[in-house]
Amino acid sequence: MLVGDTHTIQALSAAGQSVTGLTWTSSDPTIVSLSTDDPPILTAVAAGHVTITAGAASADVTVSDPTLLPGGTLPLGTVIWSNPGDGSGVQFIVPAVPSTSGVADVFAFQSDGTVQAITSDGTTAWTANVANAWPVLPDFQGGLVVLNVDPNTNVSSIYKLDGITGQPYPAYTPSPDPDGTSPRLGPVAIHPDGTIFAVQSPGGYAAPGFGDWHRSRNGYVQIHCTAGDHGLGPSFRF
Amino acid sequence: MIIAGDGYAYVPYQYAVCDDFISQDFHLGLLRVDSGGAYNNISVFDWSLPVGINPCEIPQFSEIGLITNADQGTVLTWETWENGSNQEYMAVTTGASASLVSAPQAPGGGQVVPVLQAQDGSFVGTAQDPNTGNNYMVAFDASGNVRWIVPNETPQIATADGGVIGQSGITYDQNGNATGQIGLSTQTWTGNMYQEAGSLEAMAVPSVFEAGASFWPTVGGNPSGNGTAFIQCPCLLQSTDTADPDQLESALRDGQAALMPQDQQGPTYLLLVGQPGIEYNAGQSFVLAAETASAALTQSGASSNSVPVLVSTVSDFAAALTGNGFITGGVTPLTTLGMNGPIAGGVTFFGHGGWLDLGGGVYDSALFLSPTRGSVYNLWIQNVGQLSNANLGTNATIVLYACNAGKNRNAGDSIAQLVANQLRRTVWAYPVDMWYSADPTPRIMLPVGRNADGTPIWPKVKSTTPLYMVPNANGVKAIPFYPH
Repeated sequence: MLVGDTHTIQALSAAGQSVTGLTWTSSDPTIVSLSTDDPPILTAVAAGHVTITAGAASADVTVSDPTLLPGGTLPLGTVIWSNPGDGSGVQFIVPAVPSTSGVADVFAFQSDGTVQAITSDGTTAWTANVANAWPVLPDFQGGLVVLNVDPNTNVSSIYKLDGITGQPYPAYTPSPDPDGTSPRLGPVAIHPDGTIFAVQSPGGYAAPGFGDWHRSRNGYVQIHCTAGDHGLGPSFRF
Repeated sequence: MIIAGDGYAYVPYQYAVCDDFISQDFHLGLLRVDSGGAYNNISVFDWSLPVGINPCEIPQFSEIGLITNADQGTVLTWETWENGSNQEYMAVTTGASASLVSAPQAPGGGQVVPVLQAQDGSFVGTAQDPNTGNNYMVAFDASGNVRWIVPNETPQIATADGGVIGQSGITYDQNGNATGQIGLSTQTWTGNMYQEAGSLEAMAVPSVFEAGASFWPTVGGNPSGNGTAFIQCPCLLQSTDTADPDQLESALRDGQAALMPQDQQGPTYLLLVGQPGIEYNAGQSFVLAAETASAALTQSGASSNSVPVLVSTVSDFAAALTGNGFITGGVTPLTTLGMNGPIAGGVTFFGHGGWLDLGGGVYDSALFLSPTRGSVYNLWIQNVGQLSNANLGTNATIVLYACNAGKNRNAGDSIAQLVANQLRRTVWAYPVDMWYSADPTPRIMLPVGRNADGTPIWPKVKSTTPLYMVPNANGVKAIPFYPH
């Protein structure tokens, strides 16, 4: 932090959930002071190093005087903040699309199959399970569009994760094919106007896509709109 | 499948027909679908092969390299196996039709898969030599002409100067010459930089995703990589009435006269208007946005005084702050309108913003005040010290309506932070590009209709108030920059 900066902080449970009701202390309030909020807001008062403690957890904070830094900014490579995720390890990260209906600056995908919405100040806003999903794509409303395949029923479906709460809500589940199999979905594309496009193919055949061969001459591709008031779109045969 | 810059979803497909024992017929097509479900089935290419031992054997199709072609359609490349060798193809779609062009030729004859569209409309892709397995980064144009080739590299981000950043972190100019090296990490839409190292770390490193004219400047189309084309500078797509300086000043004076406040007991707001620019002429949009703001202040019931002032140089900007809008010299002297003491309400700027290209991959955040090139016409780190807060109220806030005024490309401060530091006042600015609309809701600019060939019609700029400078992101808020 730079002198004068303020920053949020939070304590996370082993599951990556925010914990409240803890007693927060600063090892030197003349360097970093804490507000009375729960969790508190940190204010960098003077240059130095402190340890912030909440229950059994702690974090080290370094405060720099911007007048002593070249250009008044932190040196290149400085870690501004760190978020450990849920402890299983962050596999990869995907930027979120900024929106009033979303809080994440970036989505962090964890090794245990969860995704966390991380705000620009390092706070974990919400966590959701996407273990059986691929792809998981940021939409233009600040959330995620998830193509999920139920491992038990093999039913493909598309749902959305709300950008603010992470709550899932269904977007589209295809009806079974005449032979009783579950159609496959994918690839998926996200339009800025909120429309979701997905290629649907019969469950018995591979989904067509980039480089894929749709084997059946009697196969078909369906394009479905699942957002807004568009309802279901047309289907095509070839 | 992608969402191209024209707003359509494009789905490539291939299939083969084996109806006899003479030949196999192959077909490559592209479905073009809009958000309402209307579609076109575009036939791209058909070819035939003599039957083999097993005529109905499943054929192997190549990857379809598909990318947007600005907002005009798509470009796609593919490969076939004909006459005992691989054949490379490329097509350009416009509306609901496709035209074959010469495919770009890579070493060894491999398929060139487009990855990025550069600022000038050309493409940068990847190719693999089928004989050696060596990988290449290939730049080519929409006619298939190869511009340059770099071995052992993969394109990642197209830069505003027409160059590209490779996966290695090496930066290349528009001719494929290496110009520097940067550390690549994940950059969000708002310029924050992250890396994953078991945990998620926010880093103080230069941002690399920049403003420009490309619809597909990075892998996956945009910072989120969701396969959707997204124009970075939407105002470039909006047509405006061009304005010469005399017209601009006349319009400003008319606006001032019309908005002359009757009650001068309230706090004074200073509204600064930059010149409309060179490469992109914003016409009278900045003036209209300032007049809209002025009218809103006057009608807010706060007894506010607000004065739009044209500023063409940094000296103008500084003089307006200390002289209540009275500029005694400069390009466009304007008279004061009898403002009420210090600027207690605030200062709002409407104009061009972005990054000064200092060469060698170095950029600095700036407000571009004038159509004339030169450092005295750009407010940036080298001259922000000319600004004074002597006439600013202690609670005055400053708002910068300019593209990316709240985001710097390099590790240094944005112009918003620099102004905040200099004037010791909070400055609000957006970290994204701006466009113009009569609706102030922050949102992504979408087409308002389509031409007969399906190309999008982008919203035009009104020549009347109200007109707002709108950030090109759904609901994005201005960021406060506090002095430090």
